[in-house]
Amino acid sequence: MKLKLPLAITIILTMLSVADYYFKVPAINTIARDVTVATLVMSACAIGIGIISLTKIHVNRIAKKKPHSLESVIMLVTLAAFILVGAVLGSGDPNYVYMFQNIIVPLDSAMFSLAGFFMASAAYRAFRARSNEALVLLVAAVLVMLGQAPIGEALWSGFPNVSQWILDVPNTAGVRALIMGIAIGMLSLTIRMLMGHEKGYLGAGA
Amino acid sequence: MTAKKGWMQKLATIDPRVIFLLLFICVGAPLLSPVGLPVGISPGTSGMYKFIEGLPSGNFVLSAFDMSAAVAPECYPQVAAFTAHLKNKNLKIVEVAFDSAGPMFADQALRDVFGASKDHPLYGKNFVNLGYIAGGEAAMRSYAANPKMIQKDFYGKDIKDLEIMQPLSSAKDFRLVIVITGSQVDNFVRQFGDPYGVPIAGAVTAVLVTRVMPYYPAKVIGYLNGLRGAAEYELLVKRPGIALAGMDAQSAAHLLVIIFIIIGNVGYMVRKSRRS
Amino acid sequence: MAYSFLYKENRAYRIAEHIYLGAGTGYGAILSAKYVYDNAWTPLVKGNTLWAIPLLASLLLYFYFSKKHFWIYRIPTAAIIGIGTGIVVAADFRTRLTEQISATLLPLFIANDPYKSLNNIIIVFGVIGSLIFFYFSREHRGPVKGMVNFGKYILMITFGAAFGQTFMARISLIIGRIQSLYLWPAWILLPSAAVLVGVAISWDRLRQKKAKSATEKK
Repeated sequence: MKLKLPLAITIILTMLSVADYYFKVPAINTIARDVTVATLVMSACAIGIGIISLTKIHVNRIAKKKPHSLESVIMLVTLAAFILVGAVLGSGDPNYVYMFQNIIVPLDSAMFSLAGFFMASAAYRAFRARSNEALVLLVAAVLVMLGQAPIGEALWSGFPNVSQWILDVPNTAGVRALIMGIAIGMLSLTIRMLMGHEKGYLGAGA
Repeated sequence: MTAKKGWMQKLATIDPRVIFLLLFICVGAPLLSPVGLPVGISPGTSGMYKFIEGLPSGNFVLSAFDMSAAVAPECYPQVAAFTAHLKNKNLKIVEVAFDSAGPMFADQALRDVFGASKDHPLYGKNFVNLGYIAGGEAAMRSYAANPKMIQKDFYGKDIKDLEIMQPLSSAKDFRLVIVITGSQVDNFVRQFGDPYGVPIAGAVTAVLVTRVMPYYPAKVIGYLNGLRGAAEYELLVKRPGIALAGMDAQSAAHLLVIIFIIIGNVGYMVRKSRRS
Repeated sequence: MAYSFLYKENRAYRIAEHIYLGAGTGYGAILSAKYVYDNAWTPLVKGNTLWAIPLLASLLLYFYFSKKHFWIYRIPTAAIIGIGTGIVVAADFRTRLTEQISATLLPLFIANDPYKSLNNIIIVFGVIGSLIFFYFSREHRGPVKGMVNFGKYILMITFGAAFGQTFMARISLIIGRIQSLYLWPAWILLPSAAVLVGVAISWDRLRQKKAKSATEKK
């Protein structure tokens, strides 16, 4: 019951979604769409689990005076501030938008952009043409980088064309093969879920 | 021989912080003192521009924001450029977000291009920001089936009071769906492109371009390749902005990394030949 | 503060990281709450009682924190996963499989257009070779091995292009951040940050020197 009921729900709703896509039967289509809209509400409510888990971990860290407790305090204060201000003013309020633009956007993009520095360092220290395959990879990378920046076109007018050809032809072939493989993999995973062999999504103890 | 080896050894084991500093200088210096290298127009950008240029006035276009705040430096200049184009063509713009950060950028785009968002007299008639719909691809499926599925827009206005939303019954009513994303385009092709036959244009980060190519040009009629694509679009709509300003810095950084790769590999080849 | 990580992992970076975590989570919570309030709670209050079902089902999610009744959490999770899987797989079969196969069926020889013919040959055999590359159930021999090698090089070019594009994307983010440093009020902040960074680095080096000399004395 504790496992069979959720599995049965998964199987029934998966089949319903698939039937909605392939069959134009008003009854099936209406039920599927209503259930889909209901799951959107459930997905939105699921964020509460994340907030509670996060708060528990950091409150525990502060209460037990573990290292980095100050950072945990700052995190909880920021979390509370964004929730309170958003709840009082509303998400569309210009002041809330200002907070978003000046706190979240700079921090988020700064964190992401750190990878650029490490990629440059890796390019110098680790990218070696140890084999023919690695040489082909490096040459392709260099040609694409030259073609995509204006400096490439300034050096030789053919670089953008070569770069575009790499994206249009061999890259298309490679990525097409990869996404076809992913689609087949997803299909087999879904069949496993429908047969009840795949239960990892149900959490611990499944 | 020993001195050369010491010099090569030093170069091979250079502190990574020196590399970070060099990159910082290479990016920062051209921004202060631009060279002004010409920027060509790529086929992806040209495809998107020509398609929008060919749309008759009054047609509906969906701007679907699936971007996080992390990719804003790449994607927002694209949004500003194509939203200006949509405004110039007098097209009806429906903005919706499938990522929680989306509505903020949708709002900023309206303020930058139209001068105001919810307070603009044409808000609700010519453009609208519907806000965030939770649920990922399930939300896309639901929205494509019924664009009026949500009750209120981002600012709390009732959908029934928004004139622009009334004629919309499904994704088929949109002449173009512009996807602004840093994660994937496949979901939009699956939920908007294939079932409803709506053309898709991608305002995507550079990372994603390789994954857009299998769908181009059959399903994805055009795409903007990161900041470079934004710069190209700014040129096409004659609205030079931060994307164009950043191109020299992009060139300098690319050149620096290529030099790093060459130096690293030359050193490796020399050491390999000495060992053999 | 975030870029201080490039020098060394330090408290300023950790504080920036935690602010980002708190702010992002708080903001996400508000947007999700707004969606639920506008699209489920308000219609329920206005008389559409069917909305009570997803709202009550959402409450079951919070049994995640109960050890004894954890299984109840699986019910709404199963619904979300079931619908999500069905939506993706049904459409994926068409978009990423049949449509891609159809797009790969290209003419291998076009009269008067050798360039396009060559491109089509590369795409068709590239896709086939790359797919066979991932087939590990049998040893690759003879002509199949040739195809696999071709597919391997196609994949290397793909990954090379991906690296080039990824680097371009990351540099764009760095450009965005540095551009913002050149705008007001960064004119004050940037020199102040430079002074602070200089002081912090000097203090750190001094501390390292002292620790080193103390170890040597021992």
